[in-house]
Amino acid sequence: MHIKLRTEKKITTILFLSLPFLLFAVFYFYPIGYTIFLSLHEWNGIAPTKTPVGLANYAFIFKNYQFRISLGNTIKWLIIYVSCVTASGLGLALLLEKKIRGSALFETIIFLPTTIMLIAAGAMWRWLYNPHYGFINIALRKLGLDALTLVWLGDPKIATYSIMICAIWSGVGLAFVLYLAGLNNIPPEYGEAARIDGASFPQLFRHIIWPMLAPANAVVIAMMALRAIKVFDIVYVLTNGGPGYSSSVLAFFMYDTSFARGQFGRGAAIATILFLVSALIIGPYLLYSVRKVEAIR
Amino acid sequence: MKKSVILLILLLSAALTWSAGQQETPAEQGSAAKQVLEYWHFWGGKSEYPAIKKVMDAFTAQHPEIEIKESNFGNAELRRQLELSFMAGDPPDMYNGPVGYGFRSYQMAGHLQPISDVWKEVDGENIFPEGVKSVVTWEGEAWTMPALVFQTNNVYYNVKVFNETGVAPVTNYEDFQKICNKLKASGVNALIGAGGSATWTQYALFPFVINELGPQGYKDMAQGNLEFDSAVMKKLWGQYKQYYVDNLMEGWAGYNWEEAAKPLMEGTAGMYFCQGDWFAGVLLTDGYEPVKDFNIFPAPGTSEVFIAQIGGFSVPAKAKNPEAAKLFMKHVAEPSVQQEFNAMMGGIAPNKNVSPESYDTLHKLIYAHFNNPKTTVLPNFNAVVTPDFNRELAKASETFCTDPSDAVLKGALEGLEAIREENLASGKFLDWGF
Repeated sequence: MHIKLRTEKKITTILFLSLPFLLFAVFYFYPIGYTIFLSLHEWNGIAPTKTPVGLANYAFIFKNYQFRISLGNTIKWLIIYVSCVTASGLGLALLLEKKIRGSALFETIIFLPTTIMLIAAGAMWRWLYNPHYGFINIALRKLGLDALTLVWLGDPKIATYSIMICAIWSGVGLAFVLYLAGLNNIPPEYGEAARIDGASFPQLFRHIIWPMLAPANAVVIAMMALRAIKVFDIVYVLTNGGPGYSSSVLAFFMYDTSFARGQFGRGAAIATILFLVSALIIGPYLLYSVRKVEAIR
Repeated sequence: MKKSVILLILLLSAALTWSAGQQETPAEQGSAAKQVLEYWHFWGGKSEYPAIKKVMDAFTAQHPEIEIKESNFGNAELRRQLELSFMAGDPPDMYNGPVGYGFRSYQMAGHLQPISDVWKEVDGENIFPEGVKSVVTWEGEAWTMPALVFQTNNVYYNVKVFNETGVAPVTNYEDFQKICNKLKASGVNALIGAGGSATWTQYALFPFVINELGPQGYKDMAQGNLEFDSAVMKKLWGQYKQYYVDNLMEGWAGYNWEEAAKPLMEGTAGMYFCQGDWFAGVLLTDGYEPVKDFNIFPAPGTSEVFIAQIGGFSVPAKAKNPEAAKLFMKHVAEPSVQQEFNAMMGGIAPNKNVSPESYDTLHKLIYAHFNNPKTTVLPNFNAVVTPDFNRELAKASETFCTDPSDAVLKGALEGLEAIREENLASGKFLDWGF
């Protein structure tokens, strides 16, 4: 009887798990597996046959000039974009934590850019960045700050940072909302007790607020890091990876290689590399964050 | 909530889902209302869309039983969407496609159907010139119905700026540099360029190839016979830097090709070196008059060369309604349609039966040049080489234009040579017979 019950329980569990597992296999494992398979072939995306080439695509990519620039830019995005969005989001959340008059309006204004599709935001920023007729340079000239008028999207030294400004403007709202929720979850007695003991704000932040924000941090940093690693649409709209390759990132390089150059095998190899980079960076961070959150609980 | 209400909602959802999943064939659609012709294009610019809309409207007026369901993508995005639709087995009925290598790669993969029947109906062999036929036909079959020809080796200039500065069109680079110097001395930037796509800086490279090596040099480059690590190639790029890159106005890369019209026509820049004649379409749409406000001259060294960007229509193999597509192609091949279409687009009609008198002053010159027996018509580079090679050259030119250092040049030429050797080894350079 017991054995029959246990077997029935097992079968029920397997049956219930089979559908999500099937979905996971079809929409996760299969695409990854097929991408890796494709990365070992030469294929132009439309020919009926694929030619096996072993690791030649990887060898080509690692020697490729565009890959080195794209990887470097992706790392810049990871460091600069993530730190700017989290710092800005947290800063705004700390400012608006106390419900002052007009908080709701400020919160809406801060969150609004997040609701705009990045492609649409890019089209708008393209106009803002026009070197002679864009609002930014016109405003700077009117303020007598001609020296600050730059060729925002046309200068290879700053094109990537110009794109980042647009992406940060778009992403701050989400970080703000998550940090605000995290701050509201910190029991107020902790802060009050610390203030009674004479703690300054920096001490309060370092010993109470920041540790208690660990769950929010885990989510915000992981989300922004993933966004930074797979950024594509805003680069495509604003600069098409240019001038030259100066603003190219790994996701754009993958797209450019596959569709502009008709090299789907190499594009798949870049996708595989991107997957491994994401796993190597995000994976350990998530593990660390989960452990930290558990420790705080 | 009552069970009956829940059941009703579920039934309605199922019914809606089922009906949304039904797809009618063109015949079924025809029997219900009109036939649908699904058409994809990339003519969304301010001068382009009105032009193609007019052609479509004229067609549906003649064929009220056909409804055109059009989708407009950017040029590069159309190719991506098309390739995805080929992979999915669900392409449109007709699209504006790249000629030459573009259609050849689709044709080799079995994704296109020939249009030789309608080609014969419109007498394609006789109404289209050799230079056009060479890149729309392959091995005795026609694959693209040509509708536009743009020249891409012209220098556009602001007539007022030229008059005020006392300069005039030239035929060699030493004199070209003198114009640039005079413009700069009078407070006007010599050249505007355009970013947003590496294609524009690439177009500016070809006149230097032709100036140094003649049309044969261009053909050699297109067939992989010109080594990028050769002394002559380094000389070419040196000239490119000296006469083009060093004369570009600051901030040029912040403009796309349409935006570049503004600094040219406002007199901030004197010339736009090598842009396709679709640029004329933008200027005409903006209300500028050819010859009076803007004019053109062939890039130095190319006065007997016409680099032609050809636009046309093709039919995928799995088109659901190829008959309607071919009816449209027959319509678009007519002289009156080609004349009107090109007048708005800024190009010239490939159909020789379009009267030259129908063109404005500027396009009369372009037409005369195209049909001059002394003119060598060369197809645009992107039509005759692999996308990989074309993209590498375009990106190399753009990178060099933004940083014309020796290190960048070395890297660019190494990259190009590697792809040239790869394409040569795998037989990807084709002889297009031009």
